[in-house]
Amino acid sequence: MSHETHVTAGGQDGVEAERPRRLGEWIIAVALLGLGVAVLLDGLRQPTSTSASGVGAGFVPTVVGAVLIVLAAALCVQIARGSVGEPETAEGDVDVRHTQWVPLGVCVAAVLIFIVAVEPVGYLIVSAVCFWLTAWAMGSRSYLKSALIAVVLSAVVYFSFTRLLDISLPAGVFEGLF
Amino acid sequence: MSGFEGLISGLAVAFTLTNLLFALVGTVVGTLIGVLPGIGPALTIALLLPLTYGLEPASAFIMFAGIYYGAMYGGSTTSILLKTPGESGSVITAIDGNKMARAGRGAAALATAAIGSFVAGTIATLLLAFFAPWMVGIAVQLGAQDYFALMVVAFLTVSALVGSSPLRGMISMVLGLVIGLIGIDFQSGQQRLTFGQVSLLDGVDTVILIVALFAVGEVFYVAAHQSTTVFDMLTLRKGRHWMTRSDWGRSWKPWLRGTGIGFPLGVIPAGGSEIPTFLSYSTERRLSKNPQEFGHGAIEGVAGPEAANNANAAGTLVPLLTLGIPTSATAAVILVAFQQYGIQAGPQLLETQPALVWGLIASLLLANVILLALNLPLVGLWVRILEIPKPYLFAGILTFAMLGGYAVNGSPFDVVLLLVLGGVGYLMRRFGFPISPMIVGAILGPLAEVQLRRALDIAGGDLRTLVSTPFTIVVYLTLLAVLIGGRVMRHRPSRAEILHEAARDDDASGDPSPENASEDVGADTSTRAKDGTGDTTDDAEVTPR
Repeated sequence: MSHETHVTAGGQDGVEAERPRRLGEWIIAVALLGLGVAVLLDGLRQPTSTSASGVGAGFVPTVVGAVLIVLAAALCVQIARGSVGEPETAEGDVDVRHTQWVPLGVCVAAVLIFIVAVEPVGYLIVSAVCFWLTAWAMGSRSYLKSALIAVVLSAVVYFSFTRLLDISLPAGVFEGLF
Repeated sequence: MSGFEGLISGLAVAFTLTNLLFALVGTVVGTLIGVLPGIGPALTIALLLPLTYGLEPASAFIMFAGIYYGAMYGGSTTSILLKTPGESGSVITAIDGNKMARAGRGAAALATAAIGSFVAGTIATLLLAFFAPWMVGIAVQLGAQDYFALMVVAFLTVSALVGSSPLRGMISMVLGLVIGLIGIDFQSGQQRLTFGQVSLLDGVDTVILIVALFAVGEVFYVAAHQSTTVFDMLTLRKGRHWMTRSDWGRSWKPWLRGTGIGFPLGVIPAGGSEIPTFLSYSTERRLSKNPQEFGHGAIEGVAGPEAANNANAAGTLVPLLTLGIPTSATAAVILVAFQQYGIQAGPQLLETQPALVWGLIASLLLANVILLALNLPLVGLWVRILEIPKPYLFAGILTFAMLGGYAVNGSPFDVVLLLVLGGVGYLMRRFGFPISPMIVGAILGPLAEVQLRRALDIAGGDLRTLVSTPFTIVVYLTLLAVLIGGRVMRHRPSRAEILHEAARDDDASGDPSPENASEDVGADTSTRAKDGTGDTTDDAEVTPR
């Protein structure tokens, strides 16, 4: 039995974690309110329509923005009354009372690296690096094995996409080589 | 064309050697991807969309039929064998399925799920074939305001009845509507919510949205909050019997009842597969001679909900194919697949593309047969796939998500969107906003706006036109009844209650510090996970990997 990776979650941890969670709820509610206002303003900013109904591009955004503002306000009321969201149960044990910022940050970094480097450096290398980083973030500690899988997977994907499916992927530094 | 003639002509389309091959490939690939934890049917189809880019529409849809049913089946395998299921339609199946697997009856649980899916899928697909032409007959008489009314129904039921909080469901749906607004207005050509970004003029690609919310959001969520880097899996004991005679006797009625519950609830947009599976479970418990077995491995508790889930999936194809209205995330993805081929789902579809539609329906029947033939002998193979180490699985999901995002238009900007929307998907999971309403909102929103503005244009801007036909009045009144009735139905066997019951059952072997878990499903699962270490009595079967 290799359960040492389990995070021990005690009773008072839950109480401690309650504070940031409620703060998170408030931030979400305020962000939704802001988004509602932005959508509403975008709708109102649209020029008046010349269509038969007089209903133009601005009508639906105005309605959607207003509805979002109302719903966000309702959410504020719910949070103030002490209701919090029920976190989703994912396949493969999650415990939202603990946030592992480093793995999350590494996953986000992997996507950022892909965005910045995929075209100049090429799919083969970038995809392998992203795979390795994510595998590390998710807890893989056999570095060589991860690296091997990363390289093989990215090569298989690259060649089956470019050769079999005829979908082009950036070659980057290998431009002209294969 | 009647349903019967259509089905025959469809079978003729499907029964060519190449198309049979596509159906087979689709079913196998669909099961293969669907069985992976964290990947539901909607994401499976979205990820596999690129595979069909090079195919003829008819072959592509035949493959989709296979992928669709394969992914559904794969999902239920995962939920029976994994201690913590994620996908909502399988939550109920998992309760008693898990218990059966722990008691060494995993093979019987998988078999009743497979055969139940086959029975339900076959009956429901036949019903779909006979319903579709009839539905089209009604659909062609509907005006823009009638369509708009139906879409409002879909919006509200999908958002208010999915997940634990109707308010959060509605917010999720409205977020989808906001995403749907981004880009150039179809009528006036005005830019909306583009903030001067040229890349946003065409709007947010639906494939990007789906992959971001389901795949990237899931990876972020698990990375940030996983409590273990291994999957807690239940093993199948070698040499155990499939279903005994008594298992058959106890299963066939739940299969049929599950079908009867699932199909109609899919045809009328009543909010995903959660309600039919819950309803089926509580029905079976009520009708059972030994209701105390439920929650401890009653085979009826697997057979009924699993049949309901599959019949429901076939049912959602009725509004999709005949009205062009998707009522689940999976149906929304299929609609996107149609759109990629320039095919407009709706009442004209059966007229203009009969070979395609009937080929699709016939392939669903075919996929069912293939699934049954494949899965009973091959279940051991699918179980092996579940053994992919968790870090590699999620690393694979993220890299394939980025690949899919990039390949849509070959532009890194789409990967930026993927990251931003993935972050949204993470927050939604973290704070209990259901994902599917957002997808349905984003895809159905623009369609609804077209109908709304068409109706208003015809009426010269008079809002009363929206309730001017008897059809619209009936629809809105029914909507009211469904929303009220749906809430009542949900409250009877509440989700938290059933899950808590299952968890409490684990606690029976003794957790010295029981937490106040009844309020919070998240806490519930962690209690269950911890118990895996503590009790050795009924968890002898658990092999943590």
